[in-house]
Amino acid sequence: MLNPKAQSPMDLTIEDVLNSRIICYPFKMLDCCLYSEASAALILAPEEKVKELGIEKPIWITGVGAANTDCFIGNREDMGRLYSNINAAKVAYKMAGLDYNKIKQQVDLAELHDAFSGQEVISYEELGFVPFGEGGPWIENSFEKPGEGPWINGEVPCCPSGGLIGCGHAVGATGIMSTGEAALQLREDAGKHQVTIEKGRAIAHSIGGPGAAYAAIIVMTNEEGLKQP
Amino acid sequence: MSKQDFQSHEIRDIIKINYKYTMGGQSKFFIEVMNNKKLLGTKCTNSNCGKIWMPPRINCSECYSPTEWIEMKQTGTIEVSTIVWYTTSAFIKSVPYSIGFIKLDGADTALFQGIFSENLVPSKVKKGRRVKAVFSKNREGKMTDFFFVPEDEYERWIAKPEYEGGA
Repeated sequence: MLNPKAQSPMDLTIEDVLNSRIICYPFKMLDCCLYSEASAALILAPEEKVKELGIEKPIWITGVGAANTDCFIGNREDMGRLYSNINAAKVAYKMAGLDYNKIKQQVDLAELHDAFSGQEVISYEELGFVPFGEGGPWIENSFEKPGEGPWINGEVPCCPSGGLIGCGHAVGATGIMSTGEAALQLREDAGKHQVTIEKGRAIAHSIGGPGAAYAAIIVMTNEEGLKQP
Repeated sequence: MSKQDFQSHEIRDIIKINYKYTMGGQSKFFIEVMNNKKLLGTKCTNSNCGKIWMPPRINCSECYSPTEWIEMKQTGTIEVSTIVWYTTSAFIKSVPYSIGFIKLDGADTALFQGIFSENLVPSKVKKGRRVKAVFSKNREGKMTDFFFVPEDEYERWIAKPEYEGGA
């Protein structure tokens, strides 16, 4: 684990995960986050204030999207999906001037809500990185292939911080943590888990509420990203 | 007495609380399960909507019209499921067991309920599998009074002394 602030740093193999205790089929213990207690904070300011104070390396929020699906899971059309993710992503991308169908080429990284490993995989699909059903193959086909997949040196590095499984899941604070992590990445201040910043844009994603009905997505941009189309 | 001399004497004891809670507008569902082994849903009275809610809703969550009680079939299809290996003390004796959302035949929404099987493997409880309700003989008017079993195991489950088939 490259993130010194992570609560559950572990050097794991696929076998370690498969051999860990089963919790709820098909999730093993190492597929699940550590339910934790922590706090997180962001400092937000309007454009004028940032300029007045002469803040160095500010990160701009250029897109915000939030959506709900049925809290009652039994009333959802497809119970294995979170349609709120799709709607929140489309709203946030549109506000930021990005294209849902080309989002993979338009961002440098994404900090996703991976309280359980499966959530990260469906998020790849719902946030538009890969088509429905292609999240798993996106991982499987990109092992040890730099420039491909969701890895730290991949197409779109996802959760380079370690995500909720690596960092611990302090419910209520994790969305702020993910947003802060993405901001540090865009400022190239992330440290050992720094990813390459070329486009100057990142996505922070969080879900919550009964049945994870609520989804929120923030698109962030550094000074360079603002100049890019 | 100085602070250094103070010793705290502690005794471990138990606090018991007796209390009641009501199932409110949904009480009829639990009474019918307990007394008549029936599964009741509700149907929206708005003719433009008519959505059938199972578990029952007293008002339609789609159009906010009042609903009326209807008797549901006791067979259905699994929409999603998992197999539980880690649970609270109340269910620890049943581990491993399956839980899932089951859409009863005719219903528009799915009911969250336990699915038991004599040979519980993931393929037994995957999406699309047919299940049927089995009732405990000793019912208290709770959700745990009934559960679902794969349709092909139904006859064997209701032959067990502690269980029986629905009405």
